[in-house]
Amino acid sequence: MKFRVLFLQTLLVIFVLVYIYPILLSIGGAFKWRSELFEPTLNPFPINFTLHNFVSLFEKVNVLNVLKNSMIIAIVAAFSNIFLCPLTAYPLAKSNFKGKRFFQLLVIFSMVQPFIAISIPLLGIVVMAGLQDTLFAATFPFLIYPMIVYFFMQSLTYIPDDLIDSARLDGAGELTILYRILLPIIKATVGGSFLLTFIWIWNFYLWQLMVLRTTENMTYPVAVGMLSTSYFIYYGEVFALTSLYIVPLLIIFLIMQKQIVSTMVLSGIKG
Amino acid sequence: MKMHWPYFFLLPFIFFFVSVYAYPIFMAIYASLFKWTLGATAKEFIGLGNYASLLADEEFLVSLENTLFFATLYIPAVVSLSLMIALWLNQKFLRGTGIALALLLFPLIVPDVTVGAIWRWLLAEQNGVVNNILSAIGIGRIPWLSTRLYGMLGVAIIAIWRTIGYYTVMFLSGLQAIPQQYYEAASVDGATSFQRFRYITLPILTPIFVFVTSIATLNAMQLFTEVFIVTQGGPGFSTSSLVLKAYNELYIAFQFGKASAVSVIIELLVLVAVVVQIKYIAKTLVK
Repeated sequence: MKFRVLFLQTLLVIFVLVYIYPILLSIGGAFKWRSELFEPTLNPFPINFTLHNFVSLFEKVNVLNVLKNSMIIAIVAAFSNIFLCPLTAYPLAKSNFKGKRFFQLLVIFSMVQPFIAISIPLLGIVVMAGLQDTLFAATFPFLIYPMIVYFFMQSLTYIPDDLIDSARLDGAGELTILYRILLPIIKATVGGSFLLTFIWIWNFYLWQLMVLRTTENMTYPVAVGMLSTSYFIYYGEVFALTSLYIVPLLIIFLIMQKQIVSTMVLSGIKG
Repeated sequence: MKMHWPYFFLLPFIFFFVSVYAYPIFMAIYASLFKWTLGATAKEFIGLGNYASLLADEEFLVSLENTLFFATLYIPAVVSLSLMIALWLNQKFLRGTGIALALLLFPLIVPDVTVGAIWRWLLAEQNGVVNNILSAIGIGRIPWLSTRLYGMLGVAIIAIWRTIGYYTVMFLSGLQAIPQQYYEAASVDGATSFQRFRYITLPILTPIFVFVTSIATLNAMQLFTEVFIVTQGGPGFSTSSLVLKAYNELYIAFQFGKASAVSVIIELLVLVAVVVQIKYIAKTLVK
């Protein structure tokens, strides 16, 4: 038994290290010279430490502008989701009205929509509306993630109806009940949803690549795309930009990782 | 008023649904029936012409094949691996499982593009880390990025690596929701660990299993970034995917109609693949 514990524990450490090894390599690679980057080495740590990649990166890309744009899109979308998704989920989980089933099915249906099938006509619409190359166009399709609506629906069903009924007797309006009483109870879902939305949109390459074309409105993934063409990749600069980008997120992430898990626990995905 | 508030609450979603889902889907079906250049006002009705020309298009057929091949690798792999990792991390005696989980989710916060750059470097045929290890243990160098089969395998490995933490969290959340008393009661009755897994864990995990499978299917059908950034669909179009094909039709050829036809096909494939799961998920919702 003791042996089994030790074995599984060691295996876990090795597994996790191998798993994140590519990322260690890229963070370490940000501090390596180009010549060292191409040495056949397994060592993620730089032998000759350099900040050259960062200097070169700042010359090639307006890094602050890129981070600012990515940040605006992600924060706007994340906030929009934690306001609009509960607004949608609340009546679907906690009231009875004609057409409720239909709207529930709409949410599930949109949850499994392949974004590409939508993005091509959506791009056509964006072009026709003259919204190409605006941060608005980059953000709009993500203001409500149907999957987040689903998570809120699931976690709201856990709240007893009595609580809502007694708030109604006290004269509270439905908006007050939702935002002042219910959301604080399921704050783990709110936090986790914020984080998930933030990560999803922060990472979403395809749509931003489609709508944002000028350097002024460029976001992070588009900038990295620019640094890696099919002919030549500025590995050092890509790794430097990656480090600048993931380290702050990593800190938030490690602090909030419990929330992500509990969002999923609360949302239950129950039978 | 009392009866109407649910509809008011749903207004933003309805507006959003119509503009981001319903209208574009309708638009895609409509546009797929025309010979329509992106940005042009003139278009010519050709019925199912776009679909016919796709079926005769070698690049489309290869992309379809690759996407389905990828799905058959990806879906079983992520579902079984993430279930195994979740069961492993759920062992109470293990230390540091929280950090392990956070690190498993780590590839999700690294942008796709960087993931592509890292793996292109790791999988490089000469001097790539993976090939260095493989040749050191006597397997030899594998042409990951320059042949169709290994290219698709490489793409699948990257996609599995990148997303497995996400599915693991879902399974783990389900495992942690199982009351411990169930297992204790079963142990008292003399159930073996396999029986406990078979008769307690599996049935309770079924809804999550369905959910994970449908999300994995959806993700598999939308294969794009890994291909786009690692192989660019090459050599030639041998490792192209359906989404990449649609993207190329739109951006290289400016064929809005033909690109729309590809996206309608993707839409249909996804719907066929997840219709059973959708029905199941809908059943679990409160009436």
